[in-house]
Amino acid sequence: MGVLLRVSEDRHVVPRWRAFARTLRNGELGIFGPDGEQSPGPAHLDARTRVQIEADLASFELHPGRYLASDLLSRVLEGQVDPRRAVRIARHVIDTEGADTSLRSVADEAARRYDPERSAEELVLTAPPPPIDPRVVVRDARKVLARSPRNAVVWTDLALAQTESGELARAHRSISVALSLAPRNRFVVRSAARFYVHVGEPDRARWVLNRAERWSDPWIVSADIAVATILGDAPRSFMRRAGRLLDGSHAARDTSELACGLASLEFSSGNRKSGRRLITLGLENPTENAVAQAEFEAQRSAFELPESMVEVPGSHEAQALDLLDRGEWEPAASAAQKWQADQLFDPDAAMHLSYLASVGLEDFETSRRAAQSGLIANPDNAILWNNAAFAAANLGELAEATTLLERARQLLVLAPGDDVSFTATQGLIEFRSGNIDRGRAAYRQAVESAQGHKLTSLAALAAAYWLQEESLANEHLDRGVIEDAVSLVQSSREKGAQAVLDRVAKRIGLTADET
Amino acid sequence: MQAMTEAYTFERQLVERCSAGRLSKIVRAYSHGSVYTAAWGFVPVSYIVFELAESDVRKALDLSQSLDLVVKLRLAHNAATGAAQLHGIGVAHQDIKPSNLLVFGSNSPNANDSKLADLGRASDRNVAAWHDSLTIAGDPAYAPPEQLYREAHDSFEKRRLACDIYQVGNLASFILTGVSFNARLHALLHPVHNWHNWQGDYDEVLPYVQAAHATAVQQIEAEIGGPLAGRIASLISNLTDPDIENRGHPESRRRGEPYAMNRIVSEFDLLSRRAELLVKANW
Repeated sequence: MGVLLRVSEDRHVVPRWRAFARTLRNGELGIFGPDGEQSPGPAHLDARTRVQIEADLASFELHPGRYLASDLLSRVLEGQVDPRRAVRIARHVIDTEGADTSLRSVADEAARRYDPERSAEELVLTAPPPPIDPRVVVRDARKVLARSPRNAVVWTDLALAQTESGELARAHRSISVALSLAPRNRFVVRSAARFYVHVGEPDRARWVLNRAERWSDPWIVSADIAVATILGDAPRSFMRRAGRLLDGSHAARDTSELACGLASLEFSSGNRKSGRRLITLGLENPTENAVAQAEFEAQRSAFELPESMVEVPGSHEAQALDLLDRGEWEPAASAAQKWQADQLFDPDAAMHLSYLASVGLEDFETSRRAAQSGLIANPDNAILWNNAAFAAANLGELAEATTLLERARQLLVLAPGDDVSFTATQGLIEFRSGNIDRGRAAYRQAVESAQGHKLTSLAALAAAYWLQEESLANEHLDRGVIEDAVSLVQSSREKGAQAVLDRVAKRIGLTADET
Repeated sequence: MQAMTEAYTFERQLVERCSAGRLSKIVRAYSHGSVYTAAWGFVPVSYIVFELAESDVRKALDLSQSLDLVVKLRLAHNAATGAAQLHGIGVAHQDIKPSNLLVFGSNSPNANDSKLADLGRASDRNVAAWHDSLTIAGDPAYAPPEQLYREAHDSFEKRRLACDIYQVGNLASFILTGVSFNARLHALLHPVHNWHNWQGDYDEVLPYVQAAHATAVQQIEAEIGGPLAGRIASLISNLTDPDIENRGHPESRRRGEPYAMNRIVSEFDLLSRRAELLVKANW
């Protein structure tokens, strides 16, 4: 074994961080109140303006020029022209050959508001735009900022692209500038909170959220709860105050993350009933982050979510978790790939995909790519170095694997499982290098260490991979090795270990009874 | 009736001041008075006779499809000059828009024949007018974003002069690209952030308006094209900055007179001269 998915004991509704345009599409940046947009009502105009508009409309009927049309469209968008005539002007521009893009987009906007044939069109788009190379985003953002240095949204987008490119010090500076320009703006504050959690500064994330002083904004309060929980600082009084925002005065979309975040706190305190009620509330019109939290809680607390939930658009993490739980490796890996593309800097997405591809599919190229991609924004993540080493060893690149594993070992070990994993990966490299005894000793040490720390899943996975390496290295397997592996796999719920064992069994001809 | 009379008197007095001050880029009034006709029940109907214009800038641009950048920049320069002249006598126009830039001469507009008209919504620093209490004194279709989002400043500079500067940039966008800056913001802002739907305060929405503003400026630069596009787009960007603390010419801001028009006028002048040179060089 070697490849590791850190099975988190906890998950928090830390805000997602996406570029501004994508965050907008996700419906995270509205203002509270009735859902949906309103077209301007009939404008109150003075007599002189009314006369002018009437004259312009009459003139347009006779000589429909481009500039007059453009001026009238400005009035249409302000509700100064009656809808029937507004539609005629918009259609004229749209149907005119050679109308330039900007004028056409203004006409489109007018048509979308007033044309009965177009008003059903949703501006909020279903499919996100294709991912853009972060380096291109950095270049474009710098160009915009040269002209508009006080544009907090672009500074935030720049910080994201820099984070995705692994330029964390620069990202730090960019997000600080964004915060200094717009310290209370929801997009900037939530993005900054996500950044500070990413770089291991949750206390600063908390400070940023509190400084915004937006206690009636469920999007900010939800982020605050997530960060407070990471810091171990979410007292019940705090939860009660936050819970008041779920009184129905906000749209369901606005409170979905808050409700699911509060649900997690209830589950952690053992209040299942209250937790289930909050999950139900949070799933009325959820974001994909809320769905992922609900899926996590459903697996942790053993209850079923409605199947339709993981079909919420963009719910890649929830799908990856759900499909892994069902042992459906290929679709799970496909969902994890989308999750990683959505949250390029997120180490969890990278770990998940590298694990699914290696353990479930033996697709070591994908696994290595996922780990390496995650390492760009997480150069100090030992698990990702280990997973890359594991994939490289399986691809026969043993020198590379040794170097990668060395990098993993140099980093701070965060959990006992990490060290177990490194030792097992060392075992794999030794086996593949022909050093059977040293490989065997490393795997034995890994299994015993995992058992010592009561990490049954890890012990099972290490044992399954040990068996695999033995089966590849020896024609005749020691029955004891087989039995130990089978026993450990059976006593754990580790789906990956079972998958590895099934593959080995098939190759060496073990019967179902034996496994 | 009293309000109408007050509005007429206010406008007439302003027009007289402009004529007395020989403001060359403000439409001149020749006479004024009242008539009594049976059609109006012998109620006095007041009038002002202005110099006769050929058309407003929309019609002029529509009739002359191939107007070059030089003429368009000169039209924008004239509008900026008109606003600067008004500011010089303590007046803000507040309703600068395409229909209020009049073009004189029977042929296509040339260097010196466009002027600002309609002082009906102007504000005089020293004389109160009935419309001074309105958040949007001029036409909402051309109002600056802070007014559209219902933010009213107290000072004459921020509330009135900054409004004119925005409207000059808005008009320049219209003349040079055929689309006003406000129309671009409409098309670029997400509906929830549009001024018709936004229920929060201006500070909260400002970063989103700034993002749309930056995209609009990029569009303008691309649409103008050529060697002057970057500089023109930067000027329009400064004039239409949604944050009034940053609006205006950067050099004027640095010198502590943020809403001074002189550098803006010079910049349009310089740009139109450079455009002339480029035309002569057959660019």
